[in-house]
Amino acid sequence: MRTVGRADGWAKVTGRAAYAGDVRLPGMLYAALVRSPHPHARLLRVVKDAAWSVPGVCAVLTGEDVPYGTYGRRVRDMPVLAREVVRFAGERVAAVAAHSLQAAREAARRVEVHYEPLPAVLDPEEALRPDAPRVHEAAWRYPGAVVGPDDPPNLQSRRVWQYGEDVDAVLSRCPYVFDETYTIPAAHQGYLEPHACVAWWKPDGSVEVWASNKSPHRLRAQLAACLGVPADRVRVMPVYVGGDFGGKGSPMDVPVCVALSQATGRPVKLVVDYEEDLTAANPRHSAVVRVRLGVDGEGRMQALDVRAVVDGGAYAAFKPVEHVNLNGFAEAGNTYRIRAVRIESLIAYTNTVPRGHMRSPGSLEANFAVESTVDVAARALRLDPLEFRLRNVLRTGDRGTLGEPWMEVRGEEVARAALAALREGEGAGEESTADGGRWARGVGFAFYCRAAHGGETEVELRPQPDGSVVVRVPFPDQGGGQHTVVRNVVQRELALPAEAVWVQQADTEELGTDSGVGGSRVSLTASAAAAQACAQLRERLRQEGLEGWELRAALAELARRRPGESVRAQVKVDEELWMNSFCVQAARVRVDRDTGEVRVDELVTALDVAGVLNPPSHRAQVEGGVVMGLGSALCEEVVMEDGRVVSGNLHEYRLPSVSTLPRLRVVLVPGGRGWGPYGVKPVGEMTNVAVAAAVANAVADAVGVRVRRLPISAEAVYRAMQEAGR
Amino acid sequence: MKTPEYVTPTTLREALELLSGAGGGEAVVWAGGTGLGPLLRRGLASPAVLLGLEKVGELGGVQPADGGLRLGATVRLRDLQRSPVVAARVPALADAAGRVGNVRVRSLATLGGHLCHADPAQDLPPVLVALGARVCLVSLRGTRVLPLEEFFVGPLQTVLSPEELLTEVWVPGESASRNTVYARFAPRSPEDYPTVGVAVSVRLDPDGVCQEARVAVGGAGPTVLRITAAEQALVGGVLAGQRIRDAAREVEAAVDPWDDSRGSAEYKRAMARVWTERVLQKLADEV
Repeated sequence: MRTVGRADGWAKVTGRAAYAGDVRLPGMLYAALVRSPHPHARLLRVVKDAAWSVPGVCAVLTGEDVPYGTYGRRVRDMPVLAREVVRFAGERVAAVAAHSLQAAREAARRVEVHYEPLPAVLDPEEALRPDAPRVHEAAWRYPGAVVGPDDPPNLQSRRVWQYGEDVDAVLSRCPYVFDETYTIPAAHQGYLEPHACVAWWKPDGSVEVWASNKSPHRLRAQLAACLGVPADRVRVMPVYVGGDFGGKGSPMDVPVCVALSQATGRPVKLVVDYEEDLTAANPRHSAVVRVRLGVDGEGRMQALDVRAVVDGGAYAAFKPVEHVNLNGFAEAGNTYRIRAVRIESLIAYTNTVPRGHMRSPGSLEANFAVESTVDVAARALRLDPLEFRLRNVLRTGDRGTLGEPWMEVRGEEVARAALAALREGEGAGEESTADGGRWARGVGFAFYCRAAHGGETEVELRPQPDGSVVVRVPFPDQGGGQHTVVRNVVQRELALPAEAVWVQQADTEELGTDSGVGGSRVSLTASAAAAQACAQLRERLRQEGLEGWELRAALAELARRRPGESVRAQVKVDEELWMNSFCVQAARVRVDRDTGEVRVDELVTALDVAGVLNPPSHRAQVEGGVVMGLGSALCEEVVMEDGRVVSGNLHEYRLPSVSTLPRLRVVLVPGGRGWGPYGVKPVGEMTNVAVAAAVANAVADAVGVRVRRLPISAEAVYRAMQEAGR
Repeated sequence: MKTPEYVTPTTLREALELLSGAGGGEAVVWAGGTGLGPLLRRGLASPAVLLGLEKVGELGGVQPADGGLRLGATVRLRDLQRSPVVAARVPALADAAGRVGNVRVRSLATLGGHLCHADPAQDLPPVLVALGARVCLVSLRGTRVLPLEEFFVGPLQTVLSPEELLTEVWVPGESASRNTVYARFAPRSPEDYPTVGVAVSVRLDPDGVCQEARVAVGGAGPTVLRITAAEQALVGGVLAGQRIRDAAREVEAAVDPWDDSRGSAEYKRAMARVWTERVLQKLADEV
């Protein structure tokens, strides 16, 4: 029995699903922020008088008024409001709470801030030079910092992954070495809901928070650390999250909202407008990635050296992992057998908007660089690019590039499926060839492989007197369908119809543990926890002597006998599962020879899958990822000038629209070995990664020029063609 | 920012009285709001009074006139796109109207608002200039009629005075006897403003010799540009080969673009040439 409709569908289409911006509390105030126009400046003086003169204003705060520490997901380097110095254009300098949003915004406009501009450092390569202006006086002193006093002053994190023989030695023995450099700009996650929160510092000193945040338990810990209170004083309440794509994992503006609430004794709501979100939230890291690939005389890859210099922006606060780097870089070249691999990622502080996670953080940066280089190598060696990849592809039984003992690798199967699908589409869209030779056509491939990761979560089942079950989970559904997946598992385990299973998000006081939505882990952890909880519930029914009963009657009887009783299952899944998923993407493009315009006619995505819990949601993850990848490939860029984001609205920041979508062909290659009771593999961060390289490779196939910077604009292709004399 | 007062006159006379009575610059006209809305939201305009035109019936309507068209200022772009009269007389205008923004924008945006917004990269100015359209500007003091190319002064600037209203656009009948083609080049997204937009309107004699030409380019200067040097290069010969290339070179030399997210100045100049060639070739092929 399986119902494929979404658990949250009805609430969303009827407008009843509550997001943080929908929360209204009695006596609630509205907040607005004052942001720095300078990328780097000393804060001389803030004059509040004119702001206070606006009727309805209840608080005007600056950094000096906030009694909390700094905050962050790992490194706690971000102030709630700037003190003494501002480090990026868009940084919060003051905050206002008032009885109406209009009054708050008017007062914020009237806050008078005096700055003394300082020299700014805007480029990560420059930032890492010893004489560069310092973004922070002593970054190594921040709690969670992974740098020391002897590191370059603007270093956020340096991480090296290596395995096998000495890379330089192997490179020096290779007859062919390809040395290439690629540039990936910042991008916005493009969620519909801008950052929003409501905070209430209650009279008893406890704090309640509703926030557009996908990891409530982590948010609670991060807030407690910032406010300097025990975690059990902070309670994060359930709300839907209106899209995430990696960008909704940080406390963002919650601490300042808490400060306003503490100052006024009232609940305070802060919803930033989309322009603020586009210019001053946590866009994707930008990077310059140098790749050296050594190949032997038989066309076999021998050595890979990758060095990324990454712009982390003014604060490291939005990176959650222990090494404060981007795990995606570790995937560089991981789809191939390579004897010697070294990958280095240097993340620098600059006076630009702080960077954060975006769907598969670091992966796109690494993949675009490496998979473009692989194509360059194939063409230089006069090998078919797909054939070259297949000659080198990692196979089951091989150790991974970093020594991973993968349980299987399905690259070859998946690539063959992609090729077959691409051949089926041949000739499509070519009817309109009466264009005087305007369009040049090409195809390009790119491979991607991603490890699955574990995490922890908890699921609670509460039998109801009507024989239904309320399922409580500690994580929100940020649009990925997490609640639906849990419902499907409970339905199957207990053989219940969909209407008898109701999934609810619990607040952080009700359930004890969760890693949050991220790292594509929820289907793994939650399906296991839900299955385990169902087994426990069946056991309880047996203990009560109800095992022979019709199930709904038994649940109703249990609820009647033991009102309020529930079962809970916690699972903790190892971080390293040695399970990966393989994705091969192929783009079929047309390039206008006179203008450089690129039209993608078809995108084939072949994906290694195991058990699929909810086929439509799985499909939506796959296709949504492809479209997101297409945005990165062709149009999306957070543009900065003199350290300020200038693509501050959705007219300038171009997301792909439905009218530009190519044919999306998805081929699921079943038979993979998944994890847990349902044998699942992650899907959320698989299909957005390799699109950019596939498109770039197809452009090279069409017109023989290589675009080494994203997005691949018509002008970039035009210039490359001009330079090549084509 | 105070919320502006929203007034909705029901006659043209009343609208003009409100415009002149408000003391010049106090009231800003609101038609579809697709251009002004974002400016208000971002605090780039903060009028005390918004004058909504939706109740002024006299300003609407698409009517045939002297073989051409009389287009009311509050005609929505979507109506322009779907009007059988427009499609019959100047199909290039219906086609261009149907490619502005997206359907949500076209359902709100009006012809008058589109022109008064005066973004140099808009689609209809080049088409209308190529068609030889004139605009009718009315105030309590009288009426003036200008060729559209004289209406624009610079980016977001027109000759319209605060008490004047653009009431009508006239497309002359003779334009219906010409062939007109507009091409918009928007490589990032069809919903984007074009990098360049090129409109050419020509009358060819039975031998294919160009008798008359009007060439206008959008997105490549402070306003839509009418390029008379290109027109001169076209008149007197058959639209083909060198003549097309010469006219396109004149366009490339005359445009005055700048760098922005839709391309560098250098690229826009080159694209103005490429798309002029393409438009002229299309006109030549249609003969």
